[in-house]
Amino acid sequence: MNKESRQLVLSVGFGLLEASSSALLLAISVWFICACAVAGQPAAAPGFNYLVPATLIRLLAITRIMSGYLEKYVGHRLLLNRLAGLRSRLLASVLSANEGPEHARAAAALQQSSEDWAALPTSAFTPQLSSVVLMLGLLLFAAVLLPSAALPLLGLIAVLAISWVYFVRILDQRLAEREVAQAKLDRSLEGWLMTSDLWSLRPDWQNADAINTTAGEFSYSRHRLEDLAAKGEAVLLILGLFAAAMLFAYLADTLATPVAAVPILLVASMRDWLRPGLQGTLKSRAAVLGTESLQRDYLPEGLTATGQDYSAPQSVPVPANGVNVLKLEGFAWQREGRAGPSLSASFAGPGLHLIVGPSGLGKSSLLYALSGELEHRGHLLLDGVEITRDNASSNPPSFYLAEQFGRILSDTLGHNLRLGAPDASDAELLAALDWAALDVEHNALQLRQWLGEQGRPLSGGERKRLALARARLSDAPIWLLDEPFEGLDAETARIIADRLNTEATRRLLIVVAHQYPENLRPQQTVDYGSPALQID
Amino acid sequence: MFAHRSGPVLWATALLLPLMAAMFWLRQTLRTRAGYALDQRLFQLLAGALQQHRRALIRQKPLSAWQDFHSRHLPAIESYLIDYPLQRRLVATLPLLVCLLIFPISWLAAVTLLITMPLIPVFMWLVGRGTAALQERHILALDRLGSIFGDRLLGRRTIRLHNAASREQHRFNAASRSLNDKLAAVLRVAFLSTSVLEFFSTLSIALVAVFVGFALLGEVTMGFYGTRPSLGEALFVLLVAPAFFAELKALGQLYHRKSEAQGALSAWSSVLQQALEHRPVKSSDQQMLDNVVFNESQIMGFEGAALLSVPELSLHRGDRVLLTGPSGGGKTVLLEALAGLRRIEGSVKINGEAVDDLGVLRESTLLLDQTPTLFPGSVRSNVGMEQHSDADITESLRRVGLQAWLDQLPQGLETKLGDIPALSGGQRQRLAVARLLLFSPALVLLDEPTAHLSPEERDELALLLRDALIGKTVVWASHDPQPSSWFSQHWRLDTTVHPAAIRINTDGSSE
Repeated sequence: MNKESRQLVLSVGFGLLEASSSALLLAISVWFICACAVAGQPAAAPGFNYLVPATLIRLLAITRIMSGYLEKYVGHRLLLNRLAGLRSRLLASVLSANEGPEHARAAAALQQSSEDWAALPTSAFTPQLSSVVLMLGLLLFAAVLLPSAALPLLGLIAVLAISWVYFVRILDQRLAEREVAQAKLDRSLEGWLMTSDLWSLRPDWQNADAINTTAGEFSYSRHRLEDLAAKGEAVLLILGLFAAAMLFAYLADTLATPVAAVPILLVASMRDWLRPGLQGTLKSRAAVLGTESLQRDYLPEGLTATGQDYSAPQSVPVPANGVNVLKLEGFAWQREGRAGPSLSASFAGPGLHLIVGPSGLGKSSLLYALSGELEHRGHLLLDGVEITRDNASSNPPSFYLAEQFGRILSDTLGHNLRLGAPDASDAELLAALDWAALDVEHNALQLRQWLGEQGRPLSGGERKRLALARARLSDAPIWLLDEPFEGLDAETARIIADRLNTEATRRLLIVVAHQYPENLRPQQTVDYGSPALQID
Repeated sequence: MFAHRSGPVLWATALLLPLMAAMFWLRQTLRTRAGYALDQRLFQLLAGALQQHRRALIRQKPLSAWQDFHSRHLPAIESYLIDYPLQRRLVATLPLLVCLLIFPISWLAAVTLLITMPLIPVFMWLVGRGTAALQERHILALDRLGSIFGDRLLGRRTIRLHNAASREQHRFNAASRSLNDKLAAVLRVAFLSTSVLEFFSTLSIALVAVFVGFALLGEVTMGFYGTRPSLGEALFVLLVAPAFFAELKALGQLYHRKSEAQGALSAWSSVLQQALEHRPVKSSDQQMLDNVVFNESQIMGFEGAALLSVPELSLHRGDRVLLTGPSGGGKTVLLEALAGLRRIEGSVKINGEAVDDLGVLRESTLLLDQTPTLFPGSVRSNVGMEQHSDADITESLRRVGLQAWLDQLPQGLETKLGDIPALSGGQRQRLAVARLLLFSPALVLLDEPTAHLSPEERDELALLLRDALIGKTVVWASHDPQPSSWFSQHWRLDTTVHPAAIRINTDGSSE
């Protein structure tokens, strides 16, 4: 039995213990009071031992508090373990398939649905199970001690079960409605915001009525869902009180034992001990919606299957003494059925080659395809050896691609730099920053500075230079640089061009740029958008 | 024992339950209506602020942040503004009511409850003092780990390009493990504070039950009024006592969302404030632009600080202004102010009349920047915006040199923009210029429209724009050299002062 299933058993066990001890606490208290009332009558037979139940009541109270605390603690540890495991598998799946959320909102949704899934045992499973166990316990109690109450209680439970099925049906419907309304509002809001420059041209875009209506629809569907949950609780309360009154009327005139008071009061307080189960149902149905897409898109083998860590693809032809020639024959990038213009060219190393051409044809995609991140058609030969997607990402890598909009990870500057060079020393990092003309005050503390979303924001030019510093650290024989001069002021661009000229004496540089300083000395300029290229 | 008591109980049930149901229904309906109305109002404020400031405001936040407003922040704000105050009042009154109900039966039980009431916050504070900070740190750490998770998902390509996937994976796993271990210690203590309420409410039932039971037995006589309580009174005390703590528990659950809602409110208040200060532009105010005169004015940012000062400038109908200066320095801010999207302090006059912003120009200005706004839809609706005839659209496309492109489209103007081979950056800009020509705005603002184009495309587009915009009022922010003869004025961004200033260029050169 591994740690997680042990925690699961413990958490469910403590949860059940808490729920049943609080129900028992009420039951025994009621019975005790009634029994005391009977024993307190002057005519009562002596010898009622009140010390045992009184002690039992105190014991149950302690049990309830302890098990409540332990359930929370174990349940939370379970949640954290499940969360860590699931996220690790998700990360591995996304990193190896290279398919994942495209924007921050999708990533946040994934974050949320993984959290919902991890919380399922504590938030949904245990409370629902407790509700069922308590109802069965009540039925068993009646069957043994109070047979005449068993049938009405069975009837009550049947009514509850039917209502529950009905409730779940409406709940699923409302959850789906909210999902649809939210997706619609997300889409419309995005569309509306993206076209703000054109609002003055179209009266229907200019006034916000349409977007306000869509927002109203979402708000309505959200409130309908919340309304349903609140009404579910109210039904439990009123049904419980009604059933208790009926039970009282049914039992009162026929039976006069203290035991008879127990089911009546338990039914009357039905809302209190069934409410967690109701909320658990809500949580589980909502989590199921998110988990379905999670399973479909990322973890087809299941949410609990023990996944493997990401493993790197097999390697690698690495030329020992730099690259002599990279040859493209009818090379075109491919993505989702689309393809770029095919290119036949030869890039001799060491040297600097410039690719120019109209924007929008996929020069960046060309570089991604060269580095193996995108599929390609045609042939790519590195010193006569065919490069495929499988052997393109090698270790050490033969290609280093500095992306046009490279992402800075939420981490320290040092970690961001070491991404491609895990063993680099601080001094090497500082040297690389200096080489890339990155004007930070160079000291060890700066390397520990946090970058990314919650850290220091970087300007476009700083990002570019950070990418160049990473290239320098990677020491790959082929550099693919996407718009390295964009966002740099003229003076810095000139310095960087000089550094690239020097670098071109010892490796192969392929630079995509629509604007570049005059001192850049390309060995060859390839026009990627010229009509001579075939677009098909 | 219960003999002949069912009559009154049934009567009470028949009368009280429908009343309860009705009250609940009323409360729930009102609550939903209030929530819905609050949602609508806040969203309208947001939309109003967006309508007023448009791109100037939109680019302050990433797109996903705007979507977070309705999906994450509104529910939290709503619960904080509606449920939380109500629950606080319930907490202040209901326990007292419970005491009042119990008092006539047993003064001791009532007094005991009264004494425990102020004890609860004291105990929660005592246990929570150390753990509140710990728990906050726990939530913070969990949040941070969550955001690292999301960050690595989005950065997967960068990670793969650096062959760092397995290292990042191990790093994330190790971070999760160490966080979980650290949290285990924190949680052990943290849950103690949440158990305090549980402790009191449970213990009160147990103690009340035993106490009342003993009173019934006659073992205890203190706390009641002389005689033994009846069974009904005893059960009443037992059932009502937990209600004393129920509202406190409910408040505790709402309290979790309080800080979230306060954070959301403070994050959005400056945006929503914009809409409250909104002065709608009357349609009668819309008029021909003859001149705009700035005098010692400042263009304000959304945080309240001046972004740009404009000591003295004037723009007349038919002016063609070249605007130059370092990038990122505020040229875009000036263009946004001219489009009526920013508040201006100091003196600014339109046609001689003093105004607070150039809002009257909002509907008669068009702006073209580096990334032309195109939307999924046909070529016809992208250019004509459902306002112009096919003949006019075709003519406009011809003027910008897209005739040949239009002729080879499979469905002509009907072709959807997503269905055709990708347009080059230059072609996209031409499409936007065709739209601009059709709508002929009073003021044309150009924000480096040639920035991301190849040298040939850049020259072609600049030529096209100079050709097409003759006779219009134009302000053109540009990095590239432009023939100064085409322009009637040259403004320059001066970043040596703070805030940066826009001045008339006097040295005669175009850059």
